Amino acid sequence: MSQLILQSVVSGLLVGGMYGLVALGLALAFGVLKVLNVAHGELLMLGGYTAFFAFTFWGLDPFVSLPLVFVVMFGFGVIVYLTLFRYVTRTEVHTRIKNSLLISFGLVLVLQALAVRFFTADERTISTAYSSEAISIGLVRIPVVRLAGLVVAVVAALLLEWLLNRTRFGRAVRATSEDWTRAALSGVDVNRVYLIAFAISAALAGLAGSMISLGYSVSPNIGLGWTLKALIVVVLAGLGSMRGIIVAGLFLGLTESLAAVWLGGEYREVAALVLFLIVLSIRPQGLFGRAYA
Amino acid sequence: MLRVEGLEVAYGDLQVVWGASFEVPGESIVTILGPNGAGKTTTLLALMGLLPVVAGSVTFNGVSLVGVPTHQIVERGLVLIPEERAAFATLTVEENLDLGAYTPRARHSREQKMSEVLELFPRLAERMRQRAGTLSGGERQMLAIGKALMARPEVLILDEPSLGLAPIIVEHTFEAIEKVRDRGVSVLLVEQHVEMALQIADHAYVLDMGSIVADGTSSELSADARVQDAYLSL
Amino acid sequence: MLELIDVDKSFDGLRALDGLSFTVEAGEILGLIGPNGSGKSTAFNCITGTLRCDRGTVTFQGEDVTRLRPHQISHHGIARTFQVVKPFPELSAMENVLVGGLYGGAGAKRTGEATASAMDVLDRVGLADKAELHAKSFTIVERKWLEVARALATRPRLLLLDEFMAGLGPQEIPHAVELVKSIRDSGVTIVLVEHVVKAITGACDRVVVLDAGRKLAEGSVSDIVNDPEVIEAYLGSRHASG
Repeated sequence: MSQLILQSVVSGLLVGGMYGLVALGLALAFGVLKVLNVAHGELLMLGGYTAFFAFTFWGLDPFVSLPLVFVVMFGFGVIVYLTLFRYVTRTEVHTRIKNSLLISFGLVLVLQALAVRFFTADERTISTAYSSEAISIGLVRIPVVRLAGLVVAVVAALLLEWLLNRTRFGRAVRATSEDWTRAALSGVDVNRVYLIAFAISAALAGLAGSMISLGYSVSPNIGLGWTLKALIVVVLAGLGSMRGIIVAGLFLGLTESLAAVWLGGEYREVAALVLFLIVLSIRPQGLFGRAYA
Repeated sequence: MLRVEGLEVAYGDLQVVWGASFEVPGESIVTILGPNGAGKTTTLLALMGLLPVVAGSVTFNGVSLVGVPTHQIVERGLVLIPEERAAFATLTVEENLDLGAYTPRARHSREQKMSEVLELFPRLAERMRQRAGTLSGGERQMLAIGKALMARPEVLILDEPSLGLAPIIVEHTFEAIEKVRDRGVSVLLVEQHVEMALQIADHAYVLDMGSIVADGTSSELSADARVQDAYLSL
Repeated sequence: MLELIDVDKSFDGLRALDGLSFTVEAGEILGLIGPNGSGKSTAFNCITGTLRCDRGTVTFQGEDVTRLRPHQISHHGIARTFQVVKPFPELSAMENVLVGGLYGGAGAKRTGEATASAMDVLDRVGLADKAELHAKSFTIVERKWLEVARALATRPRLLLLDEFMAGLGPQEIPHAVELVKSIRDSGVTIVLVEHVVKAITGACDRVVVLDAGRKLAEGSVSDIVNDPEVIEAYLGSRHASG
């Protein structure tokens, strides 16, 4: 029995790492632009397909193609921002969530439809030589590809933190997040900050997609499911710490896993939401959020 | 240096400024006084490109600023310290000052400006690593001015710098403003603290209901009975 | 009427109030001044129950009110205004004030009675003709008066005004001072936290000066204005009178 629990813990942490990685991009878009991009999962999906096709047609190992996926999805993010979200950011901050929800939901439908059209509805998984390898500790199996995904998540979070806290551009991003008017008065080109932040957000979604197509699978409709998890993680973690988002992701994954084992598979999602409610009522700014004075 | 003529500003349907004209020459302190709701802050926001200019001209060193994006206005040397201070609470003092020198023109002289600012406000040097949100009101004021100076302004605009500050800090702030002018930066000052503003200003305007209703030197305005009664009550 | 005895309050290791003690006499207008961060707003918050004192007592009209919750404090007859004025924007001025009248200490049981006294309060602050307008269309100054009206509608015996005069111009301050005095004359004791020296000298009977969480000085306006410690810590040399 305890072996089952240990295995659940491991699986939960591994998928939690993915939740965290997906949430990073969403948190960036929301924290900086104050927009809610419901199509974040679709960007993830496109990143996953990019990695899949790079592997299938060019034989590129998914870890090797990570920079390619990043660049491709960064570019796609630029396009999405310039055609859609740029108009949302022209509105007042408190109406942006409403407007962006509407627009991004439309984007969800469009991207999903296009994906079905071009990629078919089949589930795809990247199968490399090492795909089925696993590290065994006792009777517990840790699939190597999922572990690597967790590592990518942690590294991405640390890099993002470095960018935000130690670079000049990152400082401009943080200032814009706090108050875009004051940032503009400090000489920051706010529109450019928005553009780059959004593009990075899309690129991060792409990276997540890549790891997911390797460790799990990708198909046109996986987007919303991951977006929802990411949303829960972002609210759970609060804004202000990239590391905190990974931790919150792990927390969510763990909770789901253990709930599934102890209460039954049906309770997986419920447990996550209950956790969500508990944390919010005790600490509304999120586990790691900085409550702005 | 900064010349505004016939400025009209509106928020959607509501017009707030109806043809205001004033100018800020080099190395001088100009103050705009007037009751609450007169349109003073609206005017400043329009100068900085944050509110649309419906009519009129705004020229800075002969070049029009209308329609120019805010960050470029800052790059050209016009810097506003907004009413609720300009420092970012979640950034440290050092990060705030560094952010002040964000524009390319300011970046070149960053080191030099930093030491100038710290010389003017030594208290900030002691607090470099502290988050700005934890500073006292007076210190945040100093940081706001220091940060604005990092941007190498030719004209510095202050919106009610005395608001909510202890009297002794207000004194220090106005002393600092005079030092800033002495270093060659012109100052445009919007204030409710009429006495102190008139004390340091070379020229003063009174804005009421969106229009300039009086202008002159401090002594001229203080001597004008009509202006005294209606606006200054000194 | 109100007494603070040895009140301590700390936030995250920062001592905001450090053995603070002072009294407020019935019927007076007391000024509470001091540098930013000296604890003025914290003191207000401890009095109104928004914050819990770590140590010390607050007594109001002889009764210990230290541990009471804010709504209980309101029912006891203490009202306050806030620095950042946030009226309910979609409600009319009348409705904003009614919220105070119906739920505050006035105990008005019937809407008719509450409406009449709300109108009376709005009249006192000069907003009677704007009673039906939505609060969001009010200017800054009008919002401040509305905030006072809302507090008055709870029929307090003690009114705490938190930086009410901030941002008022030279024409507006004398008017505000007259209003504060008329409120006191109608039977409400007032404590004023202020930085605007003209307001202090114009309205206050007595002044208590705070610095770093404790009482630095107290006395009449002229005592305080000439007290060298107060001048050094807070006032600066401009305000000393001959």
